[in-house]
Amino acid sequence: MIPQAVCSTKEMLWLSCWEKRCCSYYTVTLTGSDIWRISKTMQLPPQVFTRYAEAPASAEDGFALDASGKHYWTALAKRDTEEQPPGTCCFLLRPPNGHAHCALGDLRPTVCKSFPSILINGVLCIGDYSGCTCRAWALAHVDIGQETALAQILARERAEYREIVHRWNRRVEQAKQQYSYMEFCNYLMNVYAERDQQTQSLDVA
Amino acid sequence: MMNQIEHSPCAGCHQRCCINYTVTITGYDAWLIATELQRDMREFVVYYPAQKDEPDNFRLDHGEMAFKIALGKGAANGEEQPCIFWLSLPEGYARCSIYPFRPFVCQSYPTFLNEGLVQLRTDVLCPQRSWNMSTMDLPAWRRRLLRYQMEYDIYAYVVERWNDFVARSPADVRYPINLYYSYLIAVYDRLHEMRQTISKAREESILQQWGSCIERRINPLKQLQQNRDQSFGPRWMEFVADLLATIDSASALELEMGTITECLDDMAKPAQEMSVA
Repeated sequence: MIPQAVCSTKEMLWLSCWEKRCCSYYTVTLTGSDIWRISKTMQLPPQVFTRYAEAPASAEDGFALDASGKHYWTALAKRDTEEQPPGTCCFLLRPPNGHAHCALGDLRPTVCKSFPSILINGVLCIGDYSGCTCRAWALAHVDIGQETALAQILARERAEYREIVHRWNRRVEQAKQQYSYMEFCNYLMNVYAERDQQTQSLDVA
Repeated sequence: MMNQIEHSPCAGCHQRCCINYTVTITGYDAWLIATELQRDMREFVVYYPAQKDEPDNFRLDHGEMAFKIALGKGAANGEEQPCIFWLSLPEGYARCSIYPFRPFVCQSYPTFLNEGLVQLRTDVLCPQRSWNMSTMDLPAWRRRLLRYQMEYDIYAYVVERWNDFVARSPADVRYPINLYYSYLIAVYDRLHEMRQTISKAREESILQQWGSCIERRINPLKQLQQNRDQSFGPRWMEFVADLLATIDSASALELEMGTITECLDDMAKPAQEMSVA
């Protein structure tokens, strides 16, 4: 027996999924907003729960670490243990009975929260995903208003992150020196802390 | 919200408390985790024989044995067996995977209330000099401790109603633990509905009033139960009366009228029993 749900239908379906294949099938690319929120609340350095990998030249949010022209993406770290399926997100806890759950809950990246919905030309759609083993998702499983709002938040956070990454890339280009991933993370922490402070000052005013 | 996060020494600790202790919980803790994760209690709650006589000991039959509920343990990590919700992360870090709704006993560790004041326990597993009262948000800690005590008092009454039901049952009946879990969910679902109607300001005032009862070592629910004829002037006493009425009516519906016993057929899945030396 399970208590009455106090969440949306989509959330309930996701929570009750045992395997949570979406948490191992995909690489969860992050925005700075996700990194800041998780790092601050969980009191974890970003290097602990993120990894970076080379991004295609067309990636608008790829960050540079030197003037070589290479750009990188940042994503949630994967767990590398024998007990878990390979490629499982580091925040996925799989207890002995196998019913996995996300340790981040409401803190999880916005792209995870909005899964499986996407906005195409402003219209909410269900992505063509093959990863889920628990169900074939349909629009009937989601609250259209809530999902549209989430997809809009994701679009805003991505746009903001692109802007921040562009500023970093200009800095790297001008400095003509090698930076480490940790230095990029520190830059993000500084920028987002400043942004939060400004938002709070505006709220007080 | 994020600026209000208090830096916790637990962030840099190796969480020995999450590995070494058996985390005894209240019915509310179990209900909240089950609700937030949409899980069956059998997936994460264990029950174990009580070692001493306490108000949260429940019975399953007429025998001498009484039990308590606790969080289960996860997969063994070498010689250690951490809490079922303990999450190991890269680079030796670890975190609680249900932090926002972790049990009250975890939330208030390593403090306790003494004559209304927050005090640090000395028998803790925390590394030396981890905690410093001057850097702790003491009103927040006090609030957590009061809430814990309030939930414990409520749970004690919920358990008492269950034990009354068991005592009135035929002597040869032993109820399955799953029925007890179903009872808890049914009662706390009702309590949740009732509490939804209470404003934040009133909740705060109720908590402070409950605190004054704690200092006098009184469980307001028990006191009111014994003096039902008294007039309930103060608004917080009305709240206590509402609590009593909600638990009584939920218990009567679920136990006396047999609503949850109808679920017995659905209880083939075994619950976890834990033996404590």
